[in-house]
Amino acid sequence: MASRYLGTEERYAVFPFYLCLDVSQSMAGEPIAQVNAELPQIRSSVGQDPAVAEVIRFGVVTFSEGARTVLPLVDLALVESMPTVEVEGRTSYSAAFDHLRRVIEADYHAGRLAGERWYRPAVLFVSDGRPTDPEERWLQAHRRLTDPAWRRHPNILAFGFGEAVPEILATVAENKPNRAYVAAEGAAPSAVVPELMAGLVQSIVSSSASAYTGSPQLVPPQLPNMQPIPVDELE
Amino acid sequence: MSPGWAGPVWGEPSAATEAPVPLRRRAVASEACYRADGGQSAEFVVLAASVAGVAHRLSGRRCEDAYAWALPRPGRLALIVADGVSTAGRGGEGADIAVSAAWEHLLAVEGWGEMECLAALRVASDAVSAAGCASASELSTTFVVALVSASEAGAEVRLARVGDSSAFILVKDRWDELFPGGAEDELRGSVVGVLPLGSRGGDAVETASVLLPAGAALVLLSDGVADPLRDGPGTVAPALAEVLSGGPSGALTPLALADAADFSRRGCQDDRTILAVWPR
Repeated sequence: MASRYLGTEERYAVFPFYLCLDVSQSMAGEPIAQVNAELPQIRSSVGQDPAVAEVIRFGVVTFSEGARTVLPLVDLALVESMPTVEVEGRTSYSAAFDHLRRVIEADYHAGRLAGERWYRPAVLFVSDGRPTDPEERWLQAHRRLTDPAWRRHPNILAFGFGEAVPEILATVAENKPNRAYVAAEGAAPSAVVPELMAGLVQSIVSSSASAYTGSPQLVPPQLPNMQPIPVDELE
Repeated sequence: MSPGWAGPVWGEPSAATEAPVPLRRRAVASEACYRADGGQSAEFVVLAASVAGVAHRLSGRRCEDAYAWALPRPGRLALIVADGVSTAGRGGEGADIAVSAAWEHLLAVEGWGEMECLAALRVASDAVSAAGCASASELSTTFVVALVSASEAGAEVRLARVGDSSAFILVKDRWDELFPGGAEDELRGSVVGVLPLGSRGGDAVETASVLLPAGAALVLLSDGVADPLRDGPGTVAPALAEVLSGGPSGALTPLALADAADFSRRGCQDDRTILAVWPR
């Protein structure tokens, strides 16, 4: 069939989420242990809702001095066990952003070949510190990742605790309202990380629900121990 | 047998349709999850079906699509479909208000062309605005209206829309979309245009007109059907064309159309509305 304005390929809707985790040295100890304890919850919680499970694809990227994919973008129903992440070295935001751009581009084309039609991908960026690479370098990498001319540019939710800097997180989230969150002053990582991981599940589920009911949005989570970083809504 | 409810499987099945449908706390006929209707006049055969998407059924929510037709005088037919924006909060209510206002307006107008088509859209927008006051954006809804005039040369159609509900011409198994864009988007995105007009940026009103060829159907669809139709050229498109082929003869009943609208397909869980007319 070659009807005007109809597709020519059989395609299925997919909403890709990338969890981008800081695994720099400052995450050592309880924070990284809690991340590893909570990661399986994402799989089980998302898998409980068949409507969500058949739409979302989930991948995990970690970054320190470099960045790598520890869980390639996948249907969580097909994952037998979630990976564990390990603490590494410094905190290169540019490595994270450059890796994300490469991975999203590759995953998009692989998905197209597999008959997927993507909703705009979402990146859930989690960091407990400030970038250790030069500011201009990570800002350039961030511009490449969020370049509107790159049609696969993701929406980004940024979360910070520990030594994370609110202004930097707001920049990571493109200074969009309700896209960047920082832990309340004095909140211990041991309280923040479990809540944050649960919040990520909530965000994935709510965002997926918005997608399959026809109004796709990146829905921010409710996080009692974290607060949205105010930004100028005019920007 | 699966405890869930679903129509035919078109493409890869949806696992979500296997879950049993919970009993809603409150249900009234006007907000039914399954609605179907139709009829014939000297000039037209009309069939309509609207079903709640499986995501809404499983979460105990109503269908947030609405539809109407109006036959103000012989030879004139109006078709309207609206799709409430789920994330707006009260989108289903907004869709009902928009459709009712336009329907009532079109029953009383004198003319039957592009001006009346656009006026119906504006009346619908004003009604949603008035109902929602300062919270009108909670009632956000897409809207598409078609005015059909029967004539000896064939049926002339004028259309206007805001948002991603759409209209197609179906001739045998060939679908032609009357508003461009849907299949050309690389990524699926948010609905950009809604009623009430002005409640969001980019509320572009689109218009179209067409002379229906003999034997053709005009089919208005909410995106719950239009998206999988575009994405399923080897499954949904031919299967729905086959179902609708029984429309002009009366072989297709409204209930059979509703069953078809409830097709199972992976990742397709939005509310679905089909409103079709065949000029006679």
